[in-house]
Amino acid sequence: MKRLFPLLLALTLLSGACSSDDGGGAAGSSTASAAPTELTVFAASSLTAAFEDAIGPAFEAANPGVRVTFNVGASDTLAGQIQSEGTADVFASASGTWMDAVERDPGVQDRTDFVQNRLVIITPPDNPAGIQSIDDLATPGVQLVLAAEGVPVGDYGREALKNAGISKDALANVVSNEEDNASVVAKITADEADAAIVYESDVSAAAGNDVTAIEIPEAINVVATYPIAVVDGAPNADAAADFVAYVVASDGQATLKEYGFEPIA
Amino acid sequence: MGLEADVAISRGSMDVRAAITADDGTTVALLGPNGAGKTTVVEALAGIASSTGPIELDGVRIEAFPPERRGIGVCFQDDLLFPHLTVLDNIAFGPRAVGTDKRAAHTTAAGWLRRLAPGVDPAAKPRSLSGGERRRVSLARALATAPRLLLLDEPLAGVDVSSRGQIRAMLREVRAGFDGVVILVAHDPIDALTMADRVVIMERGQRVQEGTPDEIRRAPRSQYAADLVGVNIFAGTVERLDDGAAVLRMTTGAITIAPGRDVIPGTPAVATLRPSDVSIHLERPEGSARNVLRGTVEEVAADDERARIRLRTQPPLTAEITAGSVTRLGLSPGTEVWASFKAVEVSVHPESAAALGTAPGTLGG
Amino acid sequence: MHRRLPLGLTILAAIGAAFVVLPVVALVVRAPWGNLADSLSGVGATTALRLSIVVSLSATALSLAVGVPLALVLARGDFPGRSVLRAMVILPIVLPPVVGGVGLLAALGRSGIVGRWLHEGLGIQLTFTTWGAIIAATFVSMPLVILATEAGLRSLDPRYELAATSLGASQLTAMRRVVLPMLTPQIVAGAVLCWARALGEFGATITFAGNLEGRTQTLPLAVYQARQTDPGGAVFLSLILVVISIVVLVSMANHLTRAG
Repeated sequence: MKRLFPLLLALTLLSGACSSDDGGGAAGSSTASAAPTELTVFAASSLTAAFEDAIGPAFEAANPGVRVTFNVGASDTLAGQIQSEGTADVFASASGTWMDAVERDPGVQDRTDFVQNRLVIITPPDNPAGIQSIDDLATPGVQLVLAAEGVPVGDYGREALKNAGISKDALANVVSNEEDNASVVAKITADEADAAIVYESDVSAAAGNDVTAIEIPEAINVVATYPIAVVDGAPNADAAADFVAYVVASDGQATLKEYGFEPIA
Repeated sequence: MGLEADVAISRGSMDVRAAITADDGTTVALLGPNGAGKTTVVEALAGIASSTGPIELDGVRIEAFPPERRGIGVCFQDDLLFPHLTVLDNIAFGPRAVGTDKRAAHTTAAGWLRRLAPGVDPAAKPRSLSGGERRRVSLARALATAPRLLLLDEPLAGVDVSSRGQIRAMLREVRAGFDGVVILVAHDPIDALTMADRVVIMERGQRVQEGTPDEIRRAPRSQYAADLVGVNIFAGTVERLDDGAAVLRMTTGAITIAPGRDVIPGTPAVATLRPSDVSIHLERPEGSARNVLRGTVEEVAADDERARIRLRTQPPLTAEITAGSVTRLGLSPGTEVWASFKAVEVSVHPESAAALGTAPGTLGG
Repeated sequence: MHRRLPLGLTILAAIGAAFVVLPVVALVVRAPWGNLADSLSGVGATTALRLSIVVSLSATALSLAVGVPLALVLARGDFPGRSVLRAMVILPIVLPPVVGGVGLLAALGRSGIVGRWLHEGLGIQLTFTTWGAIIAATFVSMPLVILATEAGLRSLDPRYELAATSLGASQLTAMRRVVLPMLTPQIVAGAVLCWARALGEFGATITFAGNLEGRTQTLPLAVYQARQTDPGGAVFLSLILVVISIVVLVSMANHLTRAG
C-alpha cells in the first residue's frame, strides 16, 4: 500500500496535465498525422445551441483540419476570462458593452455586428401565474427571474421593464439574479419560478425549450445587437477570421435565423 | 426468595450453560479457568448478553427484561466509571436515572461513598483514583441503586497487591449487610473459598460442579476443582524470630515464610502453598527447606498418575506426589512421615484484621 | 532533544504549505486596498456577510439536531438496509454541490415531489428563500457531523452504555447522560467542519435557493457575482470569508486536534 501511493499520485498528476481544458465542446484525441487547428470560440450563452449544434459542425465540414471548441457563458464572464487568461480566438458577445471592454483590452480585429435578438417573456408551460403581458410582471407575488446586472440579457431585461414603466414593482418581484441566460431558462423549464425575461432565440423551435412565450410589444422591446470579432493575440488568427467571415456570410446567417435570431437591421 | 436461573448462551465457538440457585443474603462464586464462560454467565444475568432460559429473581421472571429493568447492580472488571462525571455523580447516576431528584440522589451517594470509600474526594474525577479506589466507587455506584442481584466480575482484578486485603474486607462487610443475592466471578480461588457460600465451578462453558466450599473440597470432581481445593491456605499472624526469619503463627501451628515488604510482624496475613511444593520423606530430611514438619498420613487419594496426601501435621497440609512415590514410600493412612517445603514457596497475602472472618487455620484439605 | 526531520519530508510539507497559503497571500497582495470602502458597499458586503453567518450557523444547528441522532441510530440500530442508508447520508460529500441542488429542486422545489404539496397544500415555498439557502447548506454539510459522531462512537467503548443501563437508565437516558457527553469533543469538531463547509457552500445554494441580495446571496454567491462587476470587490469579499474561517479554525485548533 505504501509503495502504491507515489504511483497513484504520479498517475493522477499526469492525467490532469494531459487532459485538455477548453471549457466546452468535444474533447477528442489528436490523431497522429497533421495536428488539426484548434479554434477556440467564446460565445454568449444564448448562442449555445446555434453555434454548438449547427454552425460549429458546418464550419468544420467546410474547413477540414480545423476543430472548433466553444466556451459558452455570460458575456461579462467571458470578457473577464479573455482579459485575464487570453486564450480565445473569437469572441461573440450578446452586447456591445462587453465587446467594448475586450476591444480596450486586449483588442479586437474584424469586429462585426452579426445578429440581433429581441426579448420575450417566458413562463412554465402551464403559466401558473397567468401572465398575459409585460405589465403582469408588476403584479405583487409574481416570482420573476432575471439574469444578474452585467449579464447582457439581465441588463436588457431591466431596460425593457424601464421602457414599460414598471421597474419598481417588477424588480420587487425578482426572486433570483442568475449568472447567465441558461440558468434563467433552467429555472423556468424546471417550473421553479413564474416568469423570466430571456431572448426570442430561447423560445425558437430549434432551442427546444418547453416554455410558454409571451410577446413584448415592439415599442417597449429591446433590440440586442451581437458583435463578433477576432481577439488580438489569437493563437489561430487566420482560422479565427475565417470563422467570423462564415458567421457573417449567408450560410451562417441562415442557420442563425433558424435558431430564432434576426439579421442586422 | 432469591435467584433461580438456568441460562444458555451461544458464544460463537462455545455454548455456555449454567444453572444457578441462590437464596437472598447468600453469595455464589463462579470459578473456573480462563475462557470457561464465567463472565458470559454474568453478562447473561445482567441482560448484556442475549441468552435463552429462565431467570427468576425474587419470584419475577426477568429474562425478557432489558438491563435497566432487571433490578441488578454490576461491578465490571474494569469499573467503567463514567469519566466525565465526578465520583459523587457516578454513584448518584443510578438513582437519578430512575427519577430521584438531585439532592436525594446525592445524599444517598454520599452515604455510600462514606461507607465504602471514605478517603475519596467526591468531587474527584475517576482518572485521578487508584485501582482500589475505583473499585470501591464502582461498588458504591452499583449498590446505590438498591439492587436485588449484585454481580461482581473479578472484583480484585487490577487492584494492586497491597490493597487487595482491604478490598476483600470491604466486600465481606458489604456482603454481610446486603440482603439480595451476590454472584461473584473469581479468578483467585481464595476469593471464592473465603467469600462464597456456594461455589459453581465452570469449565468450557459447562457447570461441572456446584456446592459449598466444603462439599467441593471433600469431593472434587475435576482436576481443576481438585487443584482448587487442594491449595493449602493458612491464616495467622506474622512474627519475627530472633534470627531474622519470619513466621506465620496460627492456632494450628506455625510455618516459616520468606521475609518481604508485605511481611510485617504483628499483622495478620493469609498464605497459600501449592500441594505440589510439599515433599514427603520417611526420614527427617536435611537440606535448605526451612519448613520441616512431622506427622502422620491421614488420607491418600490416588489415581493412575498423581496422588493427594492429606497430612495430620501442625498445621495440617495437603501434598501432591506421583502415584509411583506413594507405592515406593509405602504410604497409607497412619504412616509416619516428614513433610518439607521451602519458605519461598509460601505465597503471603497481607490481610486486615476484619478479613479473617472464619476461624484461622487451613481452609483447604 | 528535537531531532531534525528528514529533508524529503520537509520539502514535501513545504510544498503542501505553499500550495495552501499562496492563494491567500496572493489575495491580500492583489486587493485594491485604496478602494476598500467603495468596493465593499458596492458589492453588498455587509448584507452578504450577515446572511452567510445566519445561514451557516443555522445549517450547523440543523445538522447537529438531525445528524447526531441519525448517527446514533446508524451506529447502534439494527435494521435492514442500514448500510445502504449510511452510504446515502454520506453521499452529499462526494456529490458535486450543483447536483445536490438539482436533487433538492426535484424534491423540494415548487414542482418537486414533496415541495409540490408543501406549496399547494400549505402555501410554503422553500426556493428563493433564506430557508432554502439554509437547507442547501445543511444538505452538503450534515454528513460532516454524521461522520464525526460516528467516528467518536466507534472509538467509544460500547460497554459504557451497558454500565448505564445496568444502573437502571433507559437507553435514551444512557445516550443523553453518558454517550453524548463523552462524544462532545468529536461532535464539536464535526460541528466546526460542518460550519466551515456551510459557509463556503455555493453550487447547491445558487441552484436551489437562487441568488438575491439580502435573501439568498451569501458571501460565496456575492463573490461570484462581484467577479465581473467589481473584481476588486470580489477579492475583498473573498478575504472576509478567509479571515472569518481562519479566526474560527485557529481558535478551535486545539479542540480539533484533541478530538481527532
